[in-house]
Amino acid sequence: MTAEQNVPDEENARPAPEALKRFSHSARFPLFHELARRTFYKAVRKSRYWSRFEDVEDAWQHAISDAFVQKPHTFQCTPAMLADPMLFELAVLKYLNKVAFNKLNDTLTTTGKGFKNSPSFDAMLADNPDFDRLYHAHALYAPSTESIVEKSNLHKALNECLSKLTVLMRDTFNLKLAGYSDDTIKDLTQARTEAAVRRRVSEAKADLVKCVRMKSGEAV
Amino acid sequence: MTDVQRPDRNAAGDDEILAYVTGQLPGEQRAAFEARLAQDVRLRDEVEILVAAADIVTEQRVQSTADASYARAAATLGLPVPSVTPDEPRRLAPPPRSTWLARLTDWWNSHAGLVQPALVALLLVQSGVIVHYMTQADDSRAIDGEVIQLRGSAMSCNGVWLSPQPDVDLHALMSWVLQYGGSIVSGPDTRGRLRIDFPDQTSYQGFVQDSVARKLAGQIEQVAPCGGHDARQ
Repeated sequence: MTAEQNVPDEENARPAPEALKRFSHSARFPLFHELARRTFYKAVRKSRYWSRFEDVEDAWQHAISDAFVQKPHTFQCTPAMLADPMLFELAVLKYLNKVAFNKLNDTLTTTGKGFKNSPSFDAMLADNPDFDRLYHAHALYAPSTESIVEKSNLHKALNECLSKLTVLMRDTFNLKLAGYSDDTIKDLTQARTEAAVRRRVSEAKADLVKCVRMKSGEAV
Repeated sequence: MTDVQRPDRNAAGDDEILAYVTGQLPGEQRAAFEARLAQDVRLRDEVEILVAAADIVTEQRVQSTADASYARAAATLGLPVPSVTPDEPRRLAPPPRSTWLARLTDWWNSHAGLVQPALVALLLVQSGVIVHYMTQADDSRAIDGEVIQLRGSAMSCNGVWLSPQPDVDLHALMSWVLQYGGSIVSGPDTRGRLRIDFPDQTSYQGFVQDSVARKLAGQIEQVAPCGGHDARQ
């Protein structure tokens, strides 16, 4: 998909290429970029977790280029957004994520990794209030309290268990989770054989799951 | 983006659960796996753990690549491009080695199987040589092929080996030796003898001819370190 259409809620929304340009050259932009990118990655992890890191980054960079350079007239905003820096940033954040999501969907479909029932960005926002809160909070994901506690406990246990692995096993396992092949991991970690990589990954996974279950009080 | 940075798509041989978590399981296998997942609580729990681990890995990677990502975006937007460090996977590979120390380390690692036993053998030989010289050279002098122990004074040409009487008074012996300006420079040796040196030939002659010698010394052996031979009294 190459042409993204931002549908404003209010009728008096207008293209604002100059505002976009000023914003991209402002001192605020580097921090905005970091927050917006992290928000996008979080949303992808939630709904497209099987995506490759490089595909996600390419989609994000495509959105930057599309919104600020290739098609700055496509983005529209209301006078209220132009008057309020926070509203303006939120609008840009949503727009960038929408363009990036559409680009990522195209990539996943092309590579055979997409699902036929993958919802569009707007449908995803409508069906899942968490996403809307995610974008409104500028990368502050706001799930239910119960979910926060569960995830917090799991992440704490995972961090502890990951830290118990050797550096080599952790690096190898992380690369595997990032979707790299055994052959590439062999080169990156200077392993002797792919069998050694598979053995390391298998041991790391077994140790990690066992450790997390033990910390969760579950019989292994 | 180089090819080496991009994950490969071939999931053949990969652990099935990891392949599912990383989205590398082909369609039919994926459907079959999800059918099992729906009925197997323990499997679902394991997948949840691995997905959460992947979340952590992703978050770490997002942070570690933030500067590089901004640099790429800045270049697109025509903004000043900050200097950045390479992406995480590239940092995993050790930097290329070019220094002599690095080359030496590489050579050492590749020849360790031969070099280490050789060094151990060399160390053993050196230890033996050192011990050999320590037992001979330290505080020892060889006079006419005879090894003697010194007591802190130099050897003289006018000396004797004296075997004291068994019940001799050592104070009396020392007084007698001192009367002739002599000094005990060595001993007792394995035979219980004391090496006594004198400053000159006159003192030496007076000492060995003194009648007290019969009372204090069982045997006096003259040494001739300056060319002569031992003479027993």
